Amino acid sequence: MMPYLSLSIWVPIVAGLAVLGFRREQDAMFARWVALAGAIAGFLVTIPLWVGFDTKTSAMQFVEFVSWIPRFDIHYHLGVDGFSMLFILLNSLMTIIVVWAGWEVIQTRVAQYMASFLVMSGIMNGVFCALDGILFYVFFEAMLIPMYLIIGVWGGPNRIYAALKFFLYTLLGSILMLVALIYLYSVSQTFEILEWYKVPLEMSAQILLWVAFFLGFAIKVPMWPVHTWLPDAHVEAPTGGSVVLAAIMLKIGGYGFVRFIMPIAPDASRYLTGFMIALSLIAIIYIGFVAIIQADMKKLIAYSSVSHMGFVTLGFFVWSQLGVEGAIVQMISHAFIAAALFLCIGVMYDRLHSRQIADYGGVVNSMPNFAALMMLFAMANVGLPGTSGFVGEFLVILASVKANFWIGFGAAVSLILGAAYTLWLYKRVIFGAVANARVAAMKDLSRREFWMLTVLAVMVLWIGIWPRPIVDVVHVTAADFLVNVSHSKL
Amino acid sequence: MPLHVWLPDSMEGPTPISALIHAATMVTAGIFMVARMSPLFEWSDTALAVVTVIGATTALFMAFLGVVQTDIKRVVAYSTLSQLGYMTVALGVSAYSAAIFHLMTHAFFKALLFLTAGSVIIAMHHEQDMRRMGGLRRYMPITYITTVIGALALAGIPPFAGFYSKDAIIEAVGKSHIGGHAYAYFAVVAGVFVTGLYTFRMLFMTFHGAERFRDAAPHGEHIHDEHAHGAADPRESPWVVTVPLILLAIPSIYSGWTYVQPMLFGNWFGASIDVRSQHAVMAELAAEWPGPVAFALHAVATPTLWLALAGIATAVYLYLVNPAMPAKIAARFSTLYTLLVNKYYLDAFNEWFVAGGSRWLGNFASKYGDRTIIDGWAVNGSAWLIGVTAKALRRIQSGYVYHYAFAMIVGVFGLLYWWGVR
Repeated sequence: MMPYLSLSIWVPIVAGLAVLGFRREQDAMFARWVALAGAIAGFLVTIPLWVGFDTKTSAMQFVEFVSWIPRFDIHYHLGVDGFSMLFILLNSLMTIIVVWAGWEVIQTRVAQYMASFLVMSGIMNGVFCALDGILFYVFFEAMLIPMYLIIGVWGGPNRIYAALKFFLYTLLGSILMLVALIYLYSVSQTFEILEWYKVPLEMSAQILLWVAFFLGFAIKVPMWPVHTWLPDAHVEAPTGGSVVLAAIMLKIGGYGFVRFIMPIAPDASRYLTGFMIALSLIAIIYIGFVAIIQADMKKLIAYSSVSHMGFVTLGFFVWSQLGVEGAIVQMISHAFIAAALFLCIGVMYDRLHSRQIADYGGVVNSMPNFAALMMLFAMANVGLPGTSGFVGEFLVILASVKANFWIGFGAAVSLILGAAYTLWLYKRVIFGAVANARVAAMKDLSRREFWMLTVLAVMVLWIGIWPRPIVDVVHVTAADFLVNVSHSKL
Repeated sequence: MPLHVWLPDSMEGPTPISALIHAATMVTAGIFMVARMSPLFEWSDTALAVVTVIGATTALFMAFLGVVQTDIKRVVAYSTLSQLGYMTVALGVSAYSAAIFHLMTHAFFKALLFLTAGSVIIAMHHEQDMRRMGGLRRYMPITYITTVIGALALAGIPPFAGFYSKDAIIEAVGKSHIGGHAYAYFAVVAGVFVTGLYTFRMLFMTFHGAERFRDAAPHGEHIHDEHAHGAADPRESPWVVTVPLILLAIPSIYSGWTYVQPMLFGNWFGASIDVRSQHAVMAELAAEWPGPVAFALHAVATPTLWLALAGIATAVYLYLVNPAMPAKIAARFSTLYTLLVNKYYLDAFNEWFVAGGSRWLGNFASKYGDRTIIDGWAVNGSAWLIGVTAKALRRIQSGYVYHYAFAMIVGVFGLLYWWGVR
């Protein structure tokens, strides 16, 4: 069998390095085409994962196992299950869109820009399929480098502060995670993540491990109160950076909960359920209010991301099939919606060079096609039935109501807040009188922008109307996962 | 009430849309849902009492608002809210079939009234203010006659459709023993008077009296479209507008007496509606049901019909006989009038409390939670702390040998003391 997982990691990385060969200004067009070809090739090699995936088992599939550093028993061990497979496809698809989105927008250091995204894409695929603790950690940390460069080089005026904040915040979490990984090695003599699921651990050890992992992943999600790097990073990042950040990088946090925290420290996780639910609800409600008053469109969507990711952690910690499935669907759905909304803001930013809501108004008069597409994504962000936003949130709310009515109630409140901030944003930007002559002169979507948003619109509607294929992939894995974490490790 | 505020505002939409979704279909989804969930509601007397009281309040208090509105579409909109209140009361007293029946007849005559309002608005070149209308019956006979039919149906005058459905509801409320039934009975009966008043006020202001549209100086941004012909007489709308009016007028007349028997007392709903025996007001009504003709004749002996007629008579006096009277009343009861014109200040309250409160909360959380505590103290604070610490520690690394030598000597003495002397 072909090593599809390795291909999904290394094809984009190699393509990214190849793009670096076209650094000269006059080679920019080559850089773009090579990057696009690399991104498409990277996506094509992940399609067998979808086609050949066996939905009836929760065992790791497409496993690759090669010794890497034998002295410490570190392996190049890859594999996917129902939780991780979808993210690899998602990431590879998003890479095409991001390369396509930066096509004309990026005019300086094109090769380096494209290369950063391709390399980052490969690394993030590695994060999702690594089954060795150290391999995971290497990918997890390496991922920061291209993102740091993307924000720091192609970002807005305050990019250095944002890039540093992003880097230090995430590093703080991941350093503690490294300590946790080393501790786990010391008690189990292996870096195999799947072996760690079976290692018995005392409660105090579990709690410490839990806290160490939690910081790493909670910052990534991000959960309240460690979320403040996200609005800054989003505001300063170029559009493509925001897209990857929202669509993929945040999902690594959510993924970490089901790959590490809950199976490795199940007793601590159960013990801290109330804490997690409280943080999730704060994220959902508090951040919803904060989002309402944002004057910067990107900040508003960034806060909306935090609020929507609250559903993910909430879904995991109500400990039910519906909740876990809902959380995964929510992650996939949020990836498409947030990516689309950031692209929409990017489309407007490219024309007016402003992200302030106050600078817009009446955009529908000059950009009707754009307004129609953005309407769909705004509705999806609100969680309108028929869009992907509804499916995940509905499953999670259903699961939380089953766990406790008031938790479900708190989560459902966010639907109102989501409608408030999203529709108010849409109303102020798109409708109303034309704000100024520059808005009146805005050109409607180019063909490139139209297709880039249409792909996302199709995905949003597909998951909204027929989420079954996605739920099927997750179903058995989630069921066995819940059985697995229900066993005490004390 | 009090979640109704969106409906009158959504009358900004095109009139046919208002007729379809705000009178006939969308707003009635709530009524349909409660009726569909009757097996659930039946098990809670508290829930039914809440439904009854909310419905009764809506029926009466929204009707009051209809009396002071000057925009023709808004009169119809508040009338819709009031009639929805009637349906809700019916649901509360377990007369689900009466609610659905009123929903159906109301769909006919209210869509008719919306479309006649639309016809008038076209003739008036998109003027919606009734104070700039009047005397239109001479120019728009079809619209006028259909409006009269709709108004009679809405006011509940036999034998028009609204009479049967509304009277069935009132009778059902009279038989009910659910919590708040006395208040509900008062509200729905009083509502009949107010309904007659605002309906015919609208009719008279639009179609009777002085032709105020002639002297009314058109406001500044008068819309000039293909209908605008300056001072020409208003004309009857073309057949695309009038034919639907006639088609809706027909069921507004006959759908009451024709369908009242099968829908309310026949087996129309089969097992879809579930009523527990202690709430079976419709069964009681069925026991004494005299047939549609006798029911209409019997109405002469009930206060309801006379209240409706009194409402109409009041409208005749105020808007035909003595048109100066309403302004005097408004001035005399200015507090009440202000309250009604401002729609009980519910919009203002929502704007202030819900929208303003959310924004205040968001600002507070953003400013103190995110920017001050988390970013200011925790994030930038820790960076600052490290910076300050590093600056302080840097002084130790002075680079002068004698500083290090001095530190070393102090250290040696310290250690000697620790091990030797202690």
